Amino acid sequence: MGKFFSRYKYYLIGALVLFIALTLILIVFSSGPQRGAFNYQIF
Amino acid sequence: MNTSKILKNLLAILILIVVLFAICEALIRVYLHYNTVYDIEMTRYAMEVKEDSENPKIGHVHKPGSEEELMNVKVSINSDGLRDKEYSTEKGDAYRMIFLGDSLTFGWGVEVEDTFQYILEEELSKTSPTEIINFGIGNYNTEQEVNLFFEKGVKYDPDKVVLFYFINDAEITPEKSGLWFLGYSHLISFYWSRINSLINNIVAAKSFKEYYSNLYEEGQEGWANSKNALIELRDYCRENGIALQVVLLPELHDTDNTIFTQVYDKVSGFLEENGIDYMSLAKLFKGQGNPIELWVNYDDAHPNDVAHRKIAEALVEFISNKETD
Repeated sequence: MGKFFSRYKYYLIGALVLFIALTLILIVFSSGPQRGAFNYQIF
Repeated sequence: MNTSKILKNLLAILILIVVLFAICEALIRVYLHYNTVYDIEMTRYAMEVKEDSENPKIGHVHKPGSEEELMNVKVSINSDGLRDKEYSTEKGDAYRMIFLGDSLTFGWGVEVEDTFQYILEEELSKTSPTEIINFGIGNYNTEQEVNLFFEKGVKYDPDKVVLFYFINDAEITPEKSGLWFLGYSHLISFYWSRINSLINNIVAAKSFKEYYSNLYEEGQEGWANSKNALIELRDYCRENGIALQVVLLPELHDTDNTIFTQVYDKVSGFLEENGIDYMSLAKLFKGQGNPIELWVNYDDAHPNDVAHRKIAEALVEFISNKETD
């Protein structure tokens, strides 16, 4: 298992950095007062 | 590359995706622990507090006895699926009312003691014993509210029924999505919610108005269902000597009631034509400088405790009228 993660750790770190960056961008640009109709249940 | 190597690589990719998903899910949960997001709270409400009803005209009900903290407020559901204390079906000396409605009547985002139902019960009880049973359930339309009354409310033998109408009550009864299980993932819910919010930030000003206005166009199924349900409720109440009133609740983006005037006029007109006693609170908050001060949260336009109190104060006289029509 350790060997597996050491082999792919750069992919994992890269994907995590991408996720965090995307999430932060999304939080910033989607913030603001509720504009749409009430949307109670998203699924 | 031989087959075994390809399979090995595919397996490695799969494991990486699973590990990544788990880490991202954990990160989002940490973020949500410190930040309240309306869509996530509503999803938790649906997953933890609601359950399916056997009656397709009701769709969903509250899980009896469930408890959850939603929008930083404790929500406790009684043994009959109501956000209220326990009531005996045997009526005592108190004048008994049932409040039908959706999340606004339920008191989404406010403590029980701050809901207009609770405040009105306290206020009216100062002059004569009054019980007000809160039948508000989030995401209900008029058809669901009326059918819930027939299924659960009639046994309480009320003297009066008050239906709280909000402009989204003309939506059709929602069907459970085949992807409902995705709600268990806060990561997926969060991303769905933020992307939706992002789209709304770009195009909502138009779509928001159109969405509600379109609900009331002639031939729309939801509006037709609402009208039929109101007539059904009126006839039942007349036959059984129960007073019936309808309250039109204000829309808290449009506190001056300029955007949705026609919608409110349409509903008021229907109630008038059909002899249903009603009061419109569409302009209750007219002149309110910043409507967001009346909201539960920046991303949640439900009425907060201040708005609930004002709604209650505006209704005392109307609701205290005990005559049946």
